[in-house]
Amino acid sequence: MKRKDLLLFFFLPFIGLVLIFFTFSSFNRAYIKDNVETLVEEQLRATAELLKANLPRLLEHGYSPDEILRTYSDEENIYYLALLDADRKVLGWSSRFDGYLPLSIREVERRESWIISSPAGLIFNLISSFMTGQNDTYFLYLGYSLASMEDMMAHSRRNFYMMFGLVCVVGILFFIGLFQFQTRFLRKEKELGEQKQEKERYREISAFTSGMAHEIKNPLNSLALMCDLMHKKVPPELQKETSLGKQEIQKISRLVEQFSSSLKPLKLNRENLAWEELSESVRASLRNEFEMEMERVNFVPDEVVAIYADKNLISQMLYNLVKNALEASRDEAVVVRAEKRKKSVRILVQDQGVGFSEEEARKAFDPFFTTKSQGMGIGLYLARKIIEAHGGRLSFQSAPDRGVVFLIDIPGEKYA
Amino acid sequence: MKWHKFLWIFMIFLGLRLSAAQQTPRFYNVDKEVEILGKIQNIMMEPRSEGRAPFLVIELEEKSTQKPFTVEVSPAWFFEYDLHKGESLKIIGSLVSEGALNLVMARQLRHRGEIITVRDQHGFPSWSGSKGNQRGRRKR
Repeated sequence: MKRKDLLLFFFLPFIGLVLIFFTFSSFNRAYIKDNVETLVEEQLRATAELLKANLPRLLEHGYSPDEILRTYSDEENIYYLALLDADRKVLGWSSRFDGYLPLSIREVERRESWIISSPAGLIFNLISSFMTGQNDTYFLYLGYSLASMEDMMAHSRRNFYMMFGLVCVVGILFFIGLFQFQTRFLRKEKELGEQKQEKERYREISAFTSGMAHEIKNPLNSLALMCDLMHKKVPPELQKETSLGKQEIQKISRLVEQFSSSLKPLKLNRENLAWEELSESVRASLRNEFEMEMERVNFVPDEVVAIYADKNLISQMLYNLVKNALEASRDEAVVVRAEKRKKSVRILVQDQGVGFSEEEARKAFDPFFTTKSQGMGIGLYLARKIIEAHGGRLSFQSAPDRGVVFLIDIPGEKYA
Repeated sequence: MKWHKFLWIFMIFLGLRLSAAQQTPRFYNVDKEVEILGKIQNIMMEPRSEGRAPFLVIELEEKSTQKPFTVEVSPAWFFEYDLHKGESLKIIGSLVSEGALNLVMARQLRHRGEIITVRDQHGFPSWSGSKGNQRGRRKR
């Protein structure tokens, strides 16, 4: 799925869900607020009715309005109250806040309750009339706190923002994860595509070069035979030249053979191979070429380690690496050892040379890259190809003037 | 029957509470708001009621009419602003008693270009009941 499609498929529905959540919560809070307001208003009216039931008797008993009203000033939800005569003149009042009685002449005729905002919160206001036994009309003005409602609404709002934040954070984390997953997936897909293309190209080149090698080798064999014949028939003073010619033809033939084999797909004949057996095989090959320098090669014995590999190919690969190490180390020792890992074996080939330069390190596994005057530069390329064919990995660590360590990770022995 | 019993208990309770009640002098009447530009004649700290912190009270003479006004500002501890005798001062407040006293409860003072608010537009005192109120808060 492309990035844009993913956005449409996941992100837009998520935004929709968040909007629905937001809208629903807003309506819900508005609904709660309306209901609580109604409830508080009913409570206010009930309080007013209760007071109005008592006030006539107290007035008839001769208590002054101030005295009567002040007794209610400690009631938790009553912020202020006042007693007005029939002409709406304030006879007495009481307030929790210094001199605060927000009654205006514009409001004394009101029948419904109204809300005013104050620094202490919202206050419900109500003016209602009552009569004493002597048919005197009075008005009671009451200011009722909405603090509990505001606390509840603040709590609700806080919960809403917390939930909203949580939903957003979870959503963002989800999308980050999703995008990372998708990016990784796309990258992998691209890599696989490239690998597939590379394999295809490699197969074509391989087929082409195998054909070419075959076509070159046939005339070379004929030339070599001709050189043999010439060698026998030419005067002795020319035999040196014919011999040299044959050697050069054989050299070309070997190069073509190597080139051809490097491009052929590998066919593995795997078996369990003990480290001692493998090292002995490599040592035997090295002895033919480096007999005088064998004392520099130190194969560390290990009776536990065994690998599951094609003996010929692995030996060839290890031979190439040790040979390179011997050439790089000049007079220093080359150490070859094996370590048993969980399911694999790591073989280390360590030289004491000058190490790779930056460019050498970058191109080390490229085919036909070499720093030697002799050689085609396919040794490391082939070595890596052999290891990868075994499902392993070939890498190296290099430090200037401290040599190179080649690390071969290869599957360990297979149990029946 | 039960209702009457409750009423008598309530009356007894009320009687006890009435004996402890204190007199609250004046409220901020929003319908009687006035604006006075005057000269400070005197600055005093007066107890407004028993057991309460002293109030900052200013005697002011209106510039245009030379009429004297007594202005109740705020508790002295709340007002952190320097006023001096003879200075010019503009008051917005509620004229709560007229006659010889001309008592004004201040809502806003304007002094040397600064606005000092001691009550809100409904008369709510800035020194009580709210987290938002700050000492001697002023607006420009």
